[in-house]
Amino acid sequence: MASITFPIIKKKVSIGAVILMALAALGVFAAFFRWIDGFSQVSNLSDSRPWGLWISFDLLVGVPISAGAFILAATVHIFHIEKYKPILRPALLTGFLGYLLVIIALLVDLGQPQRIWHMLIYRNLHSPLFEVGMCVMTYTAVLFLEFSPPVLEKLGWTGLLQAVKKISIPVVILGVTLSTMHQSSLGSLFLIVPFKMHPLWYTPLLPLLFLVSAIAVGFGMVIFECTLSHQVMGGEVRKDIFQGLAKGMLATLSVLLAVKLGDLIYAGELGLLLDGSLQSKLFILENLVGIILPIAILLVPKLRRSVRWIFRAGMLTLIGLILYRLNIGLVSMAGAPYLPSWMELSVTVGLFSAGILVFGLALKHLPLEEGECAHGD
Amino acid sequence: MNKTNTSNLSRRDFLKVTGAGLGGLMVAASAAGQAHAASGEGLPLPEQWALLYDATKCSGCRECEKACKRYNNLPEEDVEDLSGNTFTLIKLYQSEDGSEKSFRKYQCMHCVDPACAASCPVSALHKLENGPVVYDSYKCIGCRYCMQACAFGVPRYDWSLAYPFIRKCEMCYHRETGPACAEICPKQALIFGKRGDLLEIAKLRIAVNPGKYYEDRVYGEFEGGGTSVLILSGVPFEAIGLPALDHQPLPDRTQWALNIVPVIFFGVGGVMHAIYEATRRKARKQAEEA
Ligand code: SF4
Ligand code: SF4
Ligand code: SF4
Repeated sequence: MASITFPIIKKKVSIGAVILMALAALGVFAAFFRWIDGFSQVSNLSDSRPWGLWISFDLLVGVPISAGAFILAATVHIFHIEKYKPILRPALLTGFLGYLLVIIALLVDLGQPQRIWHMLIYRNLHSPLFEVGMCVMTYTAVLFLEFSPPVLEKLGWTGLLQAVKKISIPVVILGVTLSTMHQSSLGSLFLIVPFKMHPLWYTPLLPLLFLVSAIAVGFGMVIFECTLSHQVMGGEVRKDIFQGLAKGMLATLSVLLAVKLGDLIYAGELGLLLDGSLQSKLFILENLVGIILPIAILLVPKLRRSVRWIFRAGMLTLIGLILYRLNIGLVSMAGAPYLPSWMELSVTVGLFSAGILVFGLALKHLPLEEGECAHGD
Repeated sequence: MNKTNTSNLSRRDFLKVTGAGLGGLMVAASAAGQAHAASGEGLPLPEQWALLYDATKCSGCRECEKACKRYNNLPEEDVEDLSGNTFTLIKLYQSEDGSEKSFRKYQCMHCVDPACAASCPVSALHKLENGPVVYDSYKCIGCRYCMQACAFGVPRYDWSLAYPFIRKCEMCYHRETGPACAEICPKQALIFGKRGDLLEIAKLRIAVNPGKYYEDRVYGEFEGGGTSVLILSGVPFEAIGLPALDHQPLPDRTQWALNIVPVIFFGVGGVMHAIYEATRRKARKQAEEA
C-alpha cells in the first residue's frame, strides 16, 4: 500500500490512514464549533426537524452495527460454540468502539451535553429514551470488561485479569440482556409518534423490527470485520466461520422479512407500496437492498459457500440497515425538508473514521487473534 | 387521516392477539398502562385549569399574543410559527376560494396525559396537580425528544445558542389570576376556568347554535386522551392545523413496550443462563468422549 513518511516521527503511514486522520480532525473541528457557536451556525436542525443526521445515523446506525459483540459473546460463551472464538475479540472491540462513538455523538447532539449524567438522578421510567440511555451507558461498561482481557494480558496485570475472568459469565449474560433491551427500545422511541410517522414505517412492532434488524446487521458487521482484519493481518480465511455467520444472517433476515411483510398485510397497507410516492420508493429500496437481495444470494447453495459472496451479502445487509434507519429518522417523519449541513456530516464521518483508525491500530498492537478470551471455566 | 387511524387500531389488536399467545404479557402490560394513565393527576380533571378558545368569536386582534410577550418578557419578533420567543400565535386560515375563514390560536395544549412529559428522559417536563404542563430547565439535557413526541409541535428551541433550553407556554402557572392571554381577550374568544365548567360552556354554545360549530363537538375533550386547551371551530379542525388524533393517550403506545422491559431483563437473563448450563454439560461430555 502507498504510504507517506513523516520526518518527525520517522514512521511510515499508509495513505488510507492519512485520509482517515484528516477526516477525524475535520470532525473534531466541526464538533468544537457546535459546542461554542450554536446549532444554527453548524447544523440544519430546526424546530420541525429536531432530530437530524446525528440521531438518525450516529445513534440509530451506530448501536445496531455494534450488535456483533453481544451475538458472538453469546455464541461462544453461552452456547459454547467454540469455532467462533478466534473472531470474538475483534467483534468485542468493534462493539466497544461503536458505543464510544455513539456516546461522543450524543455529546455533540445534546443541547446540554454537560448534563448527560442527569439521567442517573432524574430518572423517568416512562421514557424509552431513559431506558436507551441507561442501557447504552451500562453496556459500554460491560463491553469494556468483556474486552479488557487482551489489554490486561498485554499490560501483564495477571491479578486483575483473573478477577475479570471470574465474573465473565454473568457479565456476558448481562450484556446479552442489556442489548436485547436497548436494541429494541431504540425502536420504541418512535411508538409515540403514530400521527407524525408514515404508515409504511409506523407499526407497534417497531421494537421487534429494530431488534431483529440489529441482529441481522450484527452478523453482517462481523463478516465485514473478519474480511477487514484478514486483509490487515493476512492468514487463512476460516471458511467454516464465514459460512456459519452467513447461515445466521440468512435466518435472521428471513424472520425480518416475514415480520415486515406480515405486518404490512395485516394492517392492509400493501397498497401504499405502489402509490408512487418518494416514501414508498425508498421503503421498497431499503427492503430490496437490505433484505431481499442478501436472502436471494444466500439461498443459492453455491454462493452460500463462497466467502466473496457472503461478504457481498453482508455488505448489502449493512447498506440496507443504514437505509432503514435513515428512513425512520429522516424520511418517515413529517417535518420540514432536511439535508444535513457539511459540518453535521463532518462530525459523523469524522467519528466513524476515528473508529476505523483505532480498530486498525488495535488489530496491529493488541493480541486479538491468539489466546483465550474472557472465559470463566 | 381517518384511514390511518383505523389501521393503527387494527394493528394494536393484532398485537394484543400475538401478546396473548406470548403468555399474557400484553395483559399485564395494558393493565399497568392504565394504572399509569390514572396516576399522576392531582385534582380531579374537571377541577383542573383549562382554556377554551372559540375560533368563531376571535377577531384576530392579537392582544393575547402581546399579553403573553409582556408577561413572559419575550422580545417582539415576526414569525410564522411558534418559536423560542413566541409561546402563542394567532394565525389566519382561509380556504382557497376565500369562502371559509377562521383564526386559530396556537399554543401548548396542556394535554391530560402529555406525550412530552412521558418522553422526557429526565422528567424535566411534567404536569402540575392543577393541570399546566411545565418545564424545569435545570434538569433538561437537551435531547429534544419532547419536540419529536408532541403531536402539536409545541416545544421549541433557540437554535442560535450552543446550549439552548426548551421554550413553551406554561399556562402562566405562577400567575394567580390565570393565563395573561385569557385575561386580556376583549371578545371572550379565549376564556380561562375549570376544565369541567369550560366543557359545559362549550357544549352549551354548541347546543344553542346548531350547525355553527364543526361536527358539533369540542376539540380536546378526548383527542389524544384529552387536552386542557379546548377548541371550538366553525371550520374543519384539520384546516386550522389540529391533528386528527384518536382517543388513546399517546404515552400508552409506548407503555406496553416499557412494561415488558423487566420481563425481557429476567426472561432473557434466565434463558441465557439455562442455555449456558445445558451447553456446558454437553461440551464437557464431548470433550471427555474425545
Ligand atoms: S401540547 Fe405538546 S408540549 Fe403541550 S402538553 Fe401536549 S405534548 Fe406537551
Ligand atoms: S429536550 Fe429537555 S425537556 Fe425535552 S425531552 Fe429532552 S431533556 Fe426533556
Ligand atoms: S385576544 Fe382574543 S380576540 Fe384577540 S386574538 Fe387573542 S383570542 Fe382572538
